[in-house]
Amino acid sequence: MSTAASSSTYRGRRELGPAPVGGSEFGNAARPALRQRNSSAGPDYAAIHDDPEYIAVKRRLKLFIFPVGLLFLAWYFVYVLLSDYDSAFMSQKVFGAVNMGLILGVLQFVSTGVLTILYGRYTKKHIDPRIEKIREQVRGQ
Amino acid sequence: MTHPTMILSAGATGDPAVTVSIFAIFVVITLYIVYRVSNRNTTTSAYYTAESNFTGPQNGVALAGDWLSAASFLGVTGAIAVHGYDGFLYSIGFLVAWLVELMFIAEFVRNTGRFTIGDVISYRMKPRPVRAASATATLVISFFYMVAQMAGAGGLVALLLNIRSGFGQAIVISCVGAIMIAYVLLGGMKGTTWVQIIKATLLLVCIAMMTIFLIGKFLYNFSDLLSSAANHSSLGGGLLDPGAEYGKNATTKLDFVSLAMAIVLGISCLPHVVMRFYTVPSAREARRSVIWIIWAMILFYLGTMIMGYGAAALVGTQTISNAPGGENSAALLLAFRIGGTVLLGLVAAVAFATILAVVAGLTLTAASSFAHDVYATLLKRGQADVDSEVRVARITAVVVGILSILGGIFAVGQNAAFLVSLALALAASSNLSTLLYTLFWKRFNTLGTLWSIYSGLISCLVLIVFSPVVSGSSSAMFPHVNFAFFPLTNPGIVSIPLSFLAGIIGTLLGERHEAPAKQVEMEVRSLTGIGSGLQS
Repeated sequence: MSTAASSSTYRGRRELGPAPVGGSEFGNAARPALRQRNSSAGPDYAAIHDDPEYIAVKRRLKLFIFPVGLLFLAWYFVYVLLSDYDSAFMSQKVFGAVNMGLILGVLQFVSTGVLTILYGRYTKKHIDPRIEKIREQVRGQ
Repeated sequence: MTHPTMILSAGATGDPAVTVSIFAIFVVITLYIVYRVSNRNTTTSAYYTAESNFTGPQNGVALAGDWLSAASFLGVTGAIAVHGYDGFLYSIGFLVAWLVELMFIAEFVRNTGRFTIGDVISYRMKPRPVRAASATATLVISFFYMVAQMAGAGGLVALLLNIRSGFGQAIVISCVGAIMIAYVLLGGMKGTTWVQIIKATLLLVCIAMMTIFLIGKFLYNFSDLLSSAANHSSLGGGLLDPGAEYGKNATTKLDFVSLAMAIVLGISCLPHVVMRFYTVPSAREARRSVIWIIWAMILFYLGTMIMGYGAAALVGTQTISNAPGGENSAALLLAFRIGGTVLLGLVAAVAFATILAVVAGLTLTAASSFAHDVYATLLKRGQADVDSEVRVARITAVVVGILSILGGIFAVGQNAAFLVSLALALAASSNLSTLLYTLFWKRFNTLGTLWSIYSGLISCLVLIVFSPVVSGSSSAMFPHVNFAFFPLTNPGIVSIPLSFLAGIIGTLLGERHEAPAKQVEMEVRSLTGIGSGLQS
């Protein structure tokens, strides 16, 4: 939540539809500190954007989601392509009636669960506290 | 092994009564809840997003309710029972797709937008053309998805109530549609969300009961379940191997790659799925919603796998294929085999409730997009008052509801799962590229946005028209003419990369520095939620 005054004007403006909050409107707001000097203006996005803490958290997040995203999509398509084009490999029996395809399929369930847990932990540890810190600075506490 | 079908198709006296009464109880209870929770839907944020007052877990279960359509419940179980491994392949895509939602979409969308997907896409672009494009995409995708659901409803009616005449089915579809419109009109997002939560819980309980029964029946030996399934299948051991459905030739193999692509990339940007993230108060709750739905999906699709093979083992594939409703009847025949008329009635009623709830969610999405993007922003140029915007949303809901009833009546007999896969291809082609670019690519601009939305949408629609689905094959909509120059039934493999490419070309041809301040604002806001007025 930003300050009461600014949040109410902001809300009033947003009722009108696509937020007409232009960067140019607030470009003149106080630069050095992140806090809002003028309570009638919105946050100074440009200052936040250049803040080292913000740059660090952005990098931290992208460092997780892009490699991991590519990885699970690649793993999914490898599985699909193997099932589609190498059915001899996927039909190999591993134990009883259970074959390679089924095992790799169940491993897709496992990897999805594991990545969900990892993402939840990573954001809780490395992302949320830093974002909270930036938000507190903006609120001017 | 044949008697359940015979009872289901011949002795239609007992079963429909049980089904209809369980379904009626569900409708009465949910309508009462909808009426109780939504006495003051007077503001836009109450009507569209329930004042963003739901918690992550609640919204996660509601998301499961929105996503688990009759097509995925009856369709996936049936596909596994009849086609074995190839049916199981579907469910993997349905699950993995939620990781895209978790990492790339949910939190950013919650921080940036307010009511619709257009809020996010038009945030730093020229609002009018981009909103128009985004609303068009939303309406087209929702329409395909809705017709799929209603077509499924028609098939289900034939199967469950043993109503074979077209007129009888039309009446039942109209009744289902009328109840659905009532939910949306009365309940808005709050009421609709509670319907989803109740329905998803019922569905998951049903699946859990049947799965636990099957695990017990085969004494915890999964391999025995598989062997028994293969023994009762016309495919024999082939049931457990890939290729039963898609391995026929090079075209069907490529078609499967295309389908897999549409599934894994399309789900995360379906408009009615994206809209669910506006019902929670913060990005963190949006993340929790996705984490909850992923666990629900893991349980659900492990359940459908066991149920699918279980249906093959206990009922037999031949019996399933010959039953009225074909593949779609597998879960119901299994329910009858396990728990007789009562369980069959329960599962059937849950399947009905599923269609009802999913269509209600879609109607609300289409109505919000029209009222918010088209009416308030484009027609009234942002000057619409709240009362009239909500009124327009309600009127649109009725119109969309009636259109979907008509679409459902005409689409009876079309394959529901197939129509859903087209909606997914449309969503992946028009929304995913646009959303990812606008969130993560600085240079992206209005021209790029328009190119990526329209190229995806139009190429997808054109390829569908010229595919074997519409003409040139015995199962096509127009079997007697042949203008099918595109060999695949799913256009995703062409239209999805095309929209990514067109987004880049459009951007390079457009303005170089379109709105740098707005871009900075959107980036900061999507990541931190600063300026959104949301909780942390």
